[in-house]
Amino acid sequence: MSVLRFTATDLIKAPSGREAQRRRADRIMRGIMLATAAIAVVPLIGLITYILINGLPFLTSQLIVNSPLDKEPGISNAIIGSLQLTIASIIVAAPIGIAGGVYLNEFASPRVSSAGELLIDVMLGTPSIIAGLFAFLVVVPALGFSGYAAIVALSVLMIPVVMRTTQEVIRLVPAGVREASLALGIPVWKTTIFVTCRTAASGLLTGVVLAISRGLGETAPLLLTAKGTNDTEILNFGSTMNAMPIVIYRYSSSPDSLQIGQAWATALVLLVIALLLNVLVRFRTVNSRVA
Amino acid sequence: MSITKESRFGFGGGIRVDALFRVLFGSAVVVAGILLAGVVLSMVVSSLPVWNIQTPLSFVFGDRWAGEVTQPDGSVVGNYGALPVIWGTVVSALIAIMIAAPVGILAAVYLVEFAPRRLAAPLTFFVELMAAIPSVVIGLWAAGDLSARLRDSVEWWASSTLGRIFPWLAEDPEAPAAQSVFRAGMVLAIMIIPMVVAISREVIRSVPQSLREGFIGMGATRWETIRHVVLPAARIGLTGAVLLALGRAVGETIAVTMVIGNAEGIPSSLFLPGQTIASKIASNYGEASSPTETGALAALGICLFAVTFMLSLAIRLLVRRAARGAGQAS
Amino acid sequence: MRNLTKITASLLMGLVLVAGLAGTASASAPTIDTGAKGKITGSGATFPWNQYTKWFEYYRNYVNPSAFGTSSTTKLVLDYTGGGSSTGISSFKGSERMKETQMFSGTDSVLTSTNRSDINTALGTADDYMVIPATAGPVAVAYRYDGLLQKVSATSTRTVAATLRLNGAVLCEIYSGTIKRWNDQKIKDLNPLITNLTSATIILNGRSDGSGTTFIFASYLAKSATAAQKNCGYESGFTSNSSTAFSATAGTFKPVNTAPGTYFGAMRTANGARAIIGGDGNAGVAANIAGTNRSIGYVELSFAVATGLKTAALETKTKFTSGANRGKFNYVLPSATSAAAALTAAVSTEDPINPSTSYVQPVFAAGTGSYPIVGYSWLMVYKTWTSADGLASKGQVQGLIAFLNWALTTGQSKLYVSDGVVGYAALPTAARNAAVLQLKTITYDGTVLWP
Repeated sequence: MSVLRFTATDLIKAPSGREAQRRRADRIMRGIMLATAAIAVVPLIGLITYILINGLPFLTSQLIVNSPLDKEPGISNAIIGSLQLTIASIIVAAPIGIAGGVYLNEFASPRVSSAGELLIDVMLGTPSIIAGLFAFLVVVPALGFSGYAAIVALSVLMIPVVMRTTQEVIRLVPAGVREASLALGIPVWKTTIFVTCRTAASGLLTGVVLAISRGLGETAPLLLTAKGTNDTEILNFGSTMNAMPIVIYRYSSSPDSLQIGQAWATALVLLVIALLLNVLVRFRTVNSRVA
Repeated sequence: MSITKESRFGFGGGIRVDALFRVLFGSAVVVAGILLAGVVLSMVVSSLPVWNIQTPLSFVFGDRWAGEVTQPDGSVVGNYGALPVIWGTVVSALIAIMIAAPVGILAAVYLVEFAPRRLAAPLTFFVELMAAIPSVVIGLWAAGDLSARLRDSVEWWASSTLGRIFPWLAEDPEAPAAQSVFRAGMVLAIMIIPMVVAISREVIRSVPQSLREGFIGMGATRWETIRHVVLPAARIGLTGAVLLALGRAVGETIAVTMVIGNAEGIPSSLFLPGQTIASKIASNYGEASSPTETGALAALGICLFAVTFMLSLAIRLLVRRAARGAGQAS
Repeated sequence: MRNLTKITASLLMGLVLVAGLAGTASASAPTIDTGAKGKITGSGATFPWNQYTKWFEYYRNYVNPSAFGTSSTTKLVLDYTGGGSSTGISSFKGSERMKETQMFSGTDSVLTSTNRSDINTALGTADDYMVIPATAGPVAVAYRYDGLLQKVSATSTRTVAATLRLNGAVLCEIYSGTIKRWNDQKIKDLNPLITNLTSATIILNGRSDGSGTTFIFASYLAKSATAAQKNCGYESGFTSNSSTAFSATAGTFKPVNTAPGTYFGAMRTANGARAIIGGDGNAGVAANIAGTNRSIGYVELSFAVATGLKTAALETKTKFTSGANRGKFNYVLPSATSAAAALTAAVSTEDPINPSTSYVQPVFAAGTGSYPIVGYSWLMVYKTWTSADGLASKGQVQGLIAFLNWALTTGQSKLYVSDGVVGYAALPTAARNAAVLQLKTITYDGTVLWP
């Protein structure tokens, strides 16, 4: 991308003085910018290497299959707990998020719409510990430290993600598609569901996957709600539950070297899942853009 | 489902169903609003017991979290001071943003303007991948690996040179701390750089090419174009990116808790352990047995929420100004 | 002759058997209804956590695998969530009490009168719970000082890795900020053989949560540091560190489990000393010490060993009365043996069963082999259980009794070992028996579960 520039001096002699100074500044800044891009990537490499090296030796079938109470303890109840909590939370958060995002885009007046945008902004910016504190103050006194409290906390964090993505994706649906459908006499509600949403379906799914990815990795709200336990229970949200982030947090400060190793291994599992979900989202986004 | 059938029955039934539909979907927004209101209300209501025993001013400016003290005359005086945690939150976030803003924006500029096409996409992918990693995993790595590295390199160098001049960079050379506010700031920086990069990239990319071409046509170098045209044009969007990242840095809990140590009080140096609002809530919630102790934590939550709320408000105002001012989609 | 020997032998055997039977509280074991399932969860002190975890594992896998399992939907599951003694006490009277998520609490702090009245209010009936010792252990003064060397003897020049010696008075001054550096004269006086103490600042560690381990440590400081009583008397309800807030009379003290960062905060600022670094639970403090050179703190022994920390040898209460060291104090490292010696020697005016507010942990016990910081760790268990909605079922309470009975008898020889070092001390026999007898007072819907 060379700069085409003609001056008499240029054609005659090499740049000097101010000109050279500016060119040098340009080169230096390019170097600095390349360095910053490299800086942004280095920690990632360090992190993945560290977790791999420390976690891989402990990534055994014992870890995944056994409960913490077995002779060779593992974290099976944390894996099951994480799955249950995330799925339950997304079942709550996705309908609310999608419905809300659709409403704000399709049916709301401009004033309501901008108020809704602010609402989503504030919810998105709410720290996860505050969501956990909310559930701790409201749900825990009533239902105890439970999966229900955790679901409430996670939903507060997931709903705005789904809503924001839904909003942006629905906005991209061309007006012509809607108008054509309405012109055919199809009622508004059917248009919205079967035409607009279906067109934006892959984007809506992206929002859900993003929310799942957020919910899977959150620790602070789970510490204050589900609390963690050695017990293995299926579909008993009324009791305390274990989850992978809790295991990582707790085991990392344990005096037992096996538990510390299992913390790393669990982190490795969580890391792989998070990366896979991220790749999935990008793949979908790329696809939808191409399509 | 033929068209004629629809037009015969569509209108009457359609309007009623439409109305129901709107109410149903609208209620989703209401639910979200109720949740948010619940978050705020629950913290305010829970914190009431604390305001019976001390004033909000003494809460915000008190320099020690000393609990309640029963006076000789039987009355109870609250001694919950939040200044050390507020200090820790502000300082660690500042350190993070002072590093992440320039690095993130410059990296975004590189990725958009200079990176060879084949390198740009994978490099962007890797930079933004960090944002997908759960914070507890980052915290684990930071506590186990990064912390020691930072202590033995940056902190050691800074305290032995600058530390002689500035006491807030001092550190006992024989005994560097196991955790520090500085390291918490660094971890936060690493976590928010991808956010800054992602948003900055979009903003910079949306600056019209014509602006750039015009400047280059006048004989400017690429860097000069960026400095004098692109960045100013993207100013509002970049500010928004930085504010968003700042909001994240202020609210981050787990990664910070694992790296900042749990020291009471305002440390005399950046290289000593401290506390943030988020880390204190996460560490003390199990302790909170009485209504006043829980209330004190809720009061901390109010402080944190107030900060993130104001940041979100600022971002939304910026976005609105950008849309109105430039007349283009932000 | 052989017949006589045989008869004597069998007589002796019989005597031993009878003595053995008299030693154990009951020959019958508590029964558990078949099909009992659910959680048996407790919370509280982190001091005994390693021991309880080991007991749960062992009991579930080797002693009673038929009734205890890994999932509370099919069998009984033992769980302990820690959180510190304060959490344990407040949960005990909290809204979850007697549910399967709060069936017992662990504490190393003696209950204050406020605690007791609150519990009585919550439970309805006065003293409707028992406080039984489950285990005991030494609190180690752990430190990290890389490269500390001491001469082999006063006349030699050969050096070996040093073991730090300390006593209560010096520790009190360290914590209150009077002693700030490692090469302070008072530390040097106790450690004449150590060659390379530097002027580095002492980095102090303590708990950040309300802790029974702090309670035990504070009891030791108060009892042993008579000269510095003013600062380490640990009088509860203090408003400042002025002398009027403390009882200056040696021996009168009321330790509290307040985090030392809070307790000593004002004193240390006044003395220009750095803030105490708080750790979460014994594990957190151990990790902090391990991560910082020139730092010192107090943790339960098993945590110190598991984290690879060095422990200080503490001055005994009694001096040698004979031998080469006559007239000098002994310096004892924490271990199961020295803790057991302390437990035996501790002159207690009352049993550690249902201790009163004036109970003193067996710190600073007499004897040249007694480690001076030893404490009991108690379990608080409800006495009257009912089948009200949401509360623990009969099978769960039976499971709790069965486990506790095992832990107080056979379990006392299954002590937690880390890196070859036993971290806890077995309870004295009298205490064990009394505790087991207490278990027999537990009723469910009016019926005694283990008669």
